[in-house]
Amino acid sequence: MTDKSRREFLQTGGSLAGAGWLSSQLPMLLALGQTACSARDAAQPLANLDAATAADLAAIARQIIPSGDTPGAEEAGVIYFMDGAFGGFMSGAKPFLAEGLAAINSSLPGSDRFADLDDAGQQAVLGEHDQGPLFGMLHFLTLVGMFAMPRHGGNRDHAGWQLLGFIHNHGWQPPFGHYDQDMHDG
Amino acid sequence: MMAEGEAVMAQYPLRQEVDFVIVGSGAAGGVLARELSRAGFDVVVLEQGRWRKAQDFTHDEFDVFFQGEMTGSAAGGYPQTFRASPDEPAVVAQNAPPALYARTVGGSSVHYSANFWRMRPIDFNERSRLGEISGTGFSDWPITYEELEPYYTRVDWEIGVSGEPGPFDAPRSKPYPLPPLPVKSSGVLFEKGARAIGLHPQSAPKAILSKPFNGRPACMHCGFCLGFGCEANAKSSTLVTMIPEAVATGRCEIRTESTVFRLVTDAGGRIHEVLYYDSDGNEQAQRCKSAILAANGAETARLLLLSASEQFPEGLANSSGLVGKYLMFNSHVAAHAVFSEQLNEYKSVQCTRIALDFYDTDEQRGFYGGGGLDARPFLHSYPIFFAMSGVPPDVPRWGAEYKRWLEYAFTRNMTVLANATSLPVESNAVSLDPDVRDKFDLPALRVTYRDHDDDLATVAFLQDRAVEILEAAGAEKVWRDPVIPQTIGPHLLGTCRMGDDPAQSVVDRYHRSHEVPNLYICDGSSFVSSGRGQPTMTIQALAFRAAEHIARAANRGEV
Repeated sequence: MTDKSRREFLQTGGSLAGAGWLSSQLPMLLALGQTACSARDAAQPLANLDAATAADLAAIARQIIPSGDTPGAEEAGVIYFMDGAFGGFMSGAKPFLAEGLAAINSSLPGSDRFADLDDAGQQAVLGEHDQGPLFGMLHFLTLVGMFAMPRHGGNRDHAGWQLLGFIHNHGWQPPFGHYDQDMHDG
Repeated sequence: MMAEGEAVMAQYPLRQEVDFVIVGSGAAGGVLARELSRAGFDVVVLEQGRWRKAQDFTHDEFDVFFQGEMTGSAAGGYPQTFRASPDEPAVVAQNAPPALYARTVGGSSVHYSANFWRMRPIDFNERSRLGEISGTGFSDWPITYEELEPYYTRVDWEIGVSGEPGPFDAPRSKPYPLPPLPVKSSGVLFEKGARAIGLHPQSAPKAILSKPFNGRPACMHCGFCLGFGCEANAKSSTLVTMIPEAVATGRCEIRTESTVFRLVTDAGGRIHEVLYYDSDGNEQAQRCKSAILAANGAETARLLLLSASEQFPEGLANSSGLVGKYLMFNSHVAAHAVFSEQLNEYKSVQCTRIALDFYDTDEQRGFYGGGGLDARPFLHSYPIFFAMSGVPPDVPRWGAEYKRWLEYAFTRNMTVLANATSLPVESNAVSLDPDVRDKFDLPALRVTYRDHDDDLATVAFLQDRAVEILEAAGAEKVWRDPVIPQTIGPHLLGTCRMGDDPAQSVVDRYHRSHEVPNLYICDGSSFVSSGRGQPTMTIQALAFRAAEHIARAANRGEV
């Protein structure tokens, strides 16, 4: 894929029923015939990302969904999902990732990398890049790592689902929510 | 249930000339297979997908939506290309396929939301009522609502539909077999808001069981209808309704992972063989007395174009030049809201209340079109999708404020979706891509589509009403999706339209090709106009009706 076409599709959103689905910059198919990444357990070292890349990606994910009173990308193990992804369905995007991170890091003073900056510094740098395709790709991967089924490597202990208030049950019975609680017989 | 059926499933040798080969096992193909095998005919159904069953279905949002587990993807060897107009180069769609459908036994009836609207009399004769609309192929159907009504009722009772009469319903000869599904919080709020602005909300009809029916259980409200297969067999797909009954006749073989690529005609211009690739990619040929295409409004047209020959240089059954043309997606747009208390829209079916007050075209509005509004989560009941696109324009997309929004709004949001007409525009089309090929080295499906300006005006009008409903219901915050042309359509309609005039249509009023006497075509492609959204019920009613006529013609030796 040429840089131009990659940029084009990273910037082109589909629109299903106008609902903004696959909002812009969704990089779904750097997929290129690969299979989904597999689950990995907590203690397992990263298999596909080198330490410096992983540190930058983890820091970016942490800025997208920060930790705090409730778990964020770090506690959900988003980096483990990303590691699997770049060894699997996103492997075609590894050069793009490397170029993008290099561009960010080369703009920093001295030998600093993104991961070395303090919180405010990371936010300032990310603010300069958050309209670009690299951010779009990592934003998407952060969300998948946070909210996809844990078998894909992230969303550990359902941390992402708990954040949302999504409870994964096999089934439910009414009432479903506050506004329908008085609407059901019995 | 399925296991019993499989035990007796017929198996036909390739060289045996079966009565019917049906291409596709979806909403229409499943009905046709069951009806014709019950009528005593030998039937082979060629289905490109696998035979997934309830136990194979998951709630895995990533696999289903982002890896195209059932819909296929460019990366998986099923590229589709898209362009907004014939003047533009078509590019391979990198997100979901533009013509979105499920490759699996039962077809898209497996993964749809099961919204199940009947059309109304006006949908069949609107051209006569309103007159010509220049630049479009706006036409009446050759059949009326009254002719189709008995078959709508058969669908209700044969597959199991839940609902109750609404204030604007067309006449029906029999009540719904099942009461409506329990109302969700989105339905309660929608009803409140709609009444406050003078509308007439009603229960949403669904092809999902509210009570046990025909040996299948009631819905357990898991919340994974849209895009997913039903783990409970409560969604009335052909996978769990028609197909097991077809197989149980002992005369119907469902041959899976069989991708049809050519219909072969003899010197007399009649189909005698259907060519397909089997699961190993080997070419096979099934002989038949006649063929029925029910492969959906995109693949049916593509297959006819792929079947071009010396005798039929523009594609099979295409002397009108209309195969693939007049593609209609139905037009859509959404408005979203959050409320102060939890709705938990991730539970239960997509939609429990609708309003059809704006169904008819109102010439006072200054444009053609009409539609319905429904209350639902749409894709925002799913965690990844919600985090991607459930965020209003004034909330940041990352950081602490974004996280607070996710925590607050996932359980408190709902959507009102406008579902409306599409005008038939000749340049909106399915065709063969000249450059891109799929995993079988066949020309890829190319979609050319831009919503007609009247369609965009219609959904913009409906979106204004959606916002009024949400505000009147007491929303804390309301926001809109932009009204923009669609690039993906799960409703694939109009590409082999039905009509009496062979120059202006592809099939006759009984779904027989005007040109190839032993070829029938029955699926979304048969539509002449789009209806107001939710086409599946009409596709299935057409299939019951077509099966009756096809069986009669075959018994008379006229096929």
